[in-house]
Amino acid sequence: MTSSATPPHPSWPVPPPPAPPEREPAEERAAVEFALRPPRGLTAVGRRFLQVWYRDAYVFRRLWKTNLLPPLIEPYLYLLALGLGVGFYISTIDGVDYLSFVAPGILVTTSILQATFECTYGSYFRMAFQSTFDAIVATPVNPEEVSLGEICWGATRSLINAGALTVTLVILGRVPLLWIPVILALQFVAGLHFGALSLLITSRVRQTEYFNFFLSGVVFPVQMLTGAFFPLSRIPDILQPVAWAVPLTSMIDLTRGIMLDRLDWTALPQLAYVLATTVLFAELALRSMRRRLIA
Amino acid sequence: MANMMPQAADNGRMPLIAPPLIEARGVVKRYGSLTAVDGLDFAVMPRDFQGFLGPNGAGKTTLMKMIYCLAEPTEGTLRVFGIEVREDPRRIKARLGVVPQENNLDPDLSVWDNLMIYCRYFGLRGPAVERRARELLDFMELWERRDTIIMHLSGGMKRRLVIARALLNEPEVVVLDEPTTGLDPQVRHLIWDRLLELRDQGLTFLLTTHYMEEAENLCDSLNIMDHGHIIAAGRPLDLVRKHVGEFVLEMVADPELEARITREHPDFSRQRSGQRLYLYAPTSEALAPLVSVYGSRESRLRPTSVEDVFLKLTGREIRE
Repeated sequence: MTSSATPPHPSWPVPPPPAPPEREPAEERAAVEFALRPPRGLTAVGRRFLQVWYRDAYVFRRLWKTNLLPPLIEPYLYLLALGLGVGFYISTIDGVDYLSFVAPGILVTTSILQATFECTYGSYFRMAFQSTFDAIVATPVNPEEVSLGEICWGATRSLINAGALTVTLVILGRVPLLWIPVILALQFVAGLHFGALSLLITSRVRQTEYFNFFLSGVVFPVQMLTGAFFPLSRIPDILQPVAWAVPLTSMIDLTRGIMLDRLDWTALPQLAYVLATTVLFAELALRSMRRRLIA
Repeated sequence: MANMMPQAADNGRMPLIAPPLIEARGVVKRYGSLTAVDGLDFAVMPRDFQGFLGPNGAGKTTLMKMIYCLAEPTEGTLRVFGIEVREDPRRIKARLGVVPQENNLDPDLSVWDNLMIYCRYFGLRGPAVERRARELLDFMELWERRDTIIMHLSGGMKRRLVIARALLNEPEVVVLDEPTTGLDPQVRHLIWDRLLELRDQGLTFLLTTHYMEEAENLCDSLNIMDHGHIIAAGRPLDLVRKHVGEFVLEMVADPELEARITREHPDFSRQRSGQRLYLYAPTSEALAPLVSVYGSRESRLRPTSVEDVFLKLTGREIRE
């Protein structure tokens, strides 16, 4: 090496410098070490995510009065205002009375808002102000399990409130009793979907103010596009594809289809779309959360 | 606390060659363009009580986080219990106890509930771990407080609870990141007593601290860190002997006086900090004559401590 670096005579052809190695030594070493790299994303999740869910549920149970009552009351106000107030002026809409039409919309929006609040403000509070996630990740629980535990807890909050609202809708005669488990399962999936999306946002933000942007800039406006409160046919044609691209539209359409007993074959692709996007958001949230928690 | 460490407490003898519990080789950690830890090599043997000292930003906490797998090394190998930290963090963390710098307890829950929730993360439930939680609360003098909600605990109680929590899973190594910062002397002494008791039962400790007194009281060996490097390592007394000698003369001296002392006594190791001049020597006799010649009311001839080593090696200027 050293002798070839200085040719004996200046006129001699200088041999070309040796080609640089394909990889730097450090990278080479890293490649060897990482031969056993543990899995990432959803495949990294073991059963310990249930302990994270349990922790959230345990704290919630201790504070249930303040946690449960306000979000329970809100959908009733919607039900009263829209179903009975606005509904008074509408004889039929989409072939049914307005309360029947709007009840699935209120049910689904209640579900998704619960999970959204839980996995934005709730998760961020635990992560940034209480360092709860850091405490958990210092135990055998990994960041993916923390994330999935949080998403599942968000969906559980959705289920609790959807369940309470469903009882009222049963009393009002708006729910086919045999389908209740399916309706609630759908609300849980809606909760998972929005919990995952929210946690993805949470894993990226540095201040709670960004959640205002997400909620008033994305979630609330999109709700107006998804047929929760009026039929999608009233939306301009140009916005139709946008509306159907939002999985929330399918969640509402599916729930309404069950509650008004008008399910058809379109339910299957819609359900597949909702499930696929839920898995996608969860995968992204888990990976992003790992980057946030493991520096 | 007769039998807190079942697996570590052998009959007082270690096998002749025990593998290191923690082994670092060329460990580097970069955050973008910032190099927090820059090529560390060290080993922690069973029953060590190793301290890591260093000014703020020296890389101590980053190192601790890499050991308990909350940060991944950028380069080098870091093995804990023989397991590379990037390969199987779960198995490492199952055998570690972690006392982080920040008290990350669940503020809405009681002392008892905090422990009962935490042990679930290790897959521990039932009467055995409940008995252990009770022993640990007794040990840390928190049993009377078991039903108190965390937000109503004092700082010292929270800290003791975090230490108790770190011992729930019967760890083999406990990482203590500034365990007594901000606590009153009584609580600090209580914590030191308990940690030494645990060490005598066979537990291995890693400690970061800003209190030299704490390092001297607890640690068998010290690593002084600065700018991501270990700049000195060894037993506290050896460090003192090697780097500063056993005595120091601390005096107020203007540059003129310093020049004179340097001229007349060139063989003393010297350091200046603002108004103060420090002269180090292996014996007090060597320094005594200087006291009578140059001494004033502000002069002090005293034995050196780890703090003198620390300040000599890392400089006396403030780090931000």
